[in-house]
Amino acid sequence: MLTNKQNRTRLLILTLLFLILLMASLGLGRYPIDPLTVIKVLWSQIVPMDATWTSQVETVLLQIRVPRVLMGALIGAGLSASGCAYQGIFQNPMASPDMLGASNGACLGAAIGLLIGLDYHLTTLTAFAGGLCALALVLLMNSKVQWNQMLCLILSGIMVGSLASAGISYIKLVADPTNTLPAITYWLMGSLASIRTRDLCFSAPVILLGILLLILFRWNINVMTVGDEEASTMGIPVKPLRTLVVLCATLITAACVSISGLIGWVGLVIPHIARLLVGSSFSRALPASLLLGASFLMLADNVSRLMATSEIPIGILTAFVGAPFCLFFILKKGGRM
Amino acid sequence: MSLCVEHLSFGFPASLVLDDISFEIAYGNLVCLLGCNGAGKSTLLRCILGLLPLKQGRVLVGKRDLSSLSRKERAKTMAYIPQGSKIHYSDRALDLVLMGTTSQLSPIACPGKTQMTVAQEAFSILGISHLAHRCYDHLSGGEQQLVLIARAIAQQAPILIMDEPCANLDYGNQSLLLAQIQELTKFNYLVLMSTHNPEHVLRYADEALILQNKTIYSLPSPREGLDAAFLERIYGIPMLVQTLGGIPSCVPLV
Repeated sequence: MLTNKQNRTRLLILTLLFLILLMASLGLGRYPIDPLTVIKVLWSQIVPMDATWTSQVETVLLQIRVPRVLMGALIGAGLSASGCAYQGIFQNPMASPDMLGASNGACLGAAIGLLIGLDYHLTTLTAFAGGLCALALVLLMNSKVQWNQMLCLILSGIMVGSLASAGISYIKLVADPTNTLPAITYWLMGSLASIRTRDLCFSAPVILLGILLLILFRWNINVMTVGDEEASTMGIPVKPLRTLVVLCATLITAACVSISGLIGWVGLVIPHIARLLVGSSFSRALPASLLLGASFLMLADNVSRLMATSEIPIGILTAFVGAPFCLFFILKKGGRM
Repeated sequence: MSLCVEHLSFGFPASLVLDDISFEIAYGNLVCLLGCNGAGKSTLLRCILGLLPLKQGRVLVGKRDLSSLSRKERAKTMAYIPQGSKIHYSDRALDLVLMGTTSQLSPIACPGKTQMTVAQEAFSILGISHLAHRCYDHLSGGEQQLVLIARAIAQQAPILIMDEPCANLDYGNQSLLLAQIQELTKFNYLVLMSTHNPEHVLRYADEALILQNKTIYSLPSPREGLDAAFLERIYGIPMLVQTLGGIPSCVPLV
């Protein structure tokens, strides 16, 4: 087992990895900017200094790169943190942030928005609302049962999720196949291409709030991983805490999906890699998941930007990486994740 | 101080699982709960722990009604040692024992130096400090059970509730564990444990509680009260109770 010192070293390495990827992602693209200029331009926003770069560089960096990269990092961190928390409170290694229907709900919200012809920003709002509606429905159903609430929560989540995806299918069926249908399809694939500063202002606070709450309650969430009854006898308010975690994870997931579309697998796979690196305790796995998730999504986004002449939706990329990784994991550990 | 159960009932009106159960047990004792399969031993323990809603009655510690205590205060009063914890994400034994200190922390705090000391003391009380940095999953059944007891000790609650602590242990480990548990009563812990083995009761218990037909019989001195006739009533088979070199043993005669 790892000592605390080894763990700190590993977290430090993950932080470095994150910072390096952050700088690299800001520089990389169809219009490359060297790291020094990146730092200079960013610094000039705080302390006024003489511009040794073209205004084009500044526009690309501040209007397009920064929001996109920061949002990518936040989405990666947020989805991984919610996945890690879900796997903890449901005592189930296969749990992921979309388990309770939040992302399907958000997708349905977006599909409705696109169907009735709303613009990009209003679609973000309908998507976010869709995610919250899905959660409200799940929690409403869950408040009606007395016994085995965890199972009920999961089942009602699956039910709401599949209701929402049935709704999406129906909307796709009736959508205008020349422009609305492709818009919905492309949106559902997940992409960071159209993210601008406005999205950052809307989603970042929500995602950060969710992450902050998960960080604050990390020890209680850690104790919940041993099971409801045991946690309860150790003084954990099991039910309120679970509702809080579900709420945080849903806020994060809905905010992520509403600006980027469906980016799957990150929330399922990243927490497992984090646990392999720093140990299973939630209070240690959470920071590692945050850093690793942010780094992974920035990397995936770089690949999606640079690999082909037209962008590959990042949702497809994460699935290409995530699914084989999961298979590898199952084969290696004999299904014991 | 004592743990007092008054007129406790649990179940549905038509089919009560526990009916009007009352008993009082004092700190510093090892009390065994005996009963056949399905008699409701685990249910009774879970009622006492506040994990199941009582239909009637109350549980008192000293003069205080447990249902009036907050979850944290309750955790500081009694600790639960389950029948082999299912650990989904295996980690160091120390991390597991640290969880016991949760009731001493504010909701958003992580264990600090004080809690670390408490956890390490819990390991040393049981003489298992060498297990602290081992992975819980890699420990043997007996060691895992000891780690769970260490977690309960770190919880600093005077009452320890154990659900069949010996259920998955080999013959030698059962005796070692029971001797260890008996040792704890000298630190004024009240240990209430369920068991399927009447020999454990005869040899180690200061008091026995027998759960039968939804109700409870208290045997203040099990060595005298728990005779062959009594055991026959519980298990429905003829039994022989004898003493070998001062140690009582039971022999089923079937």
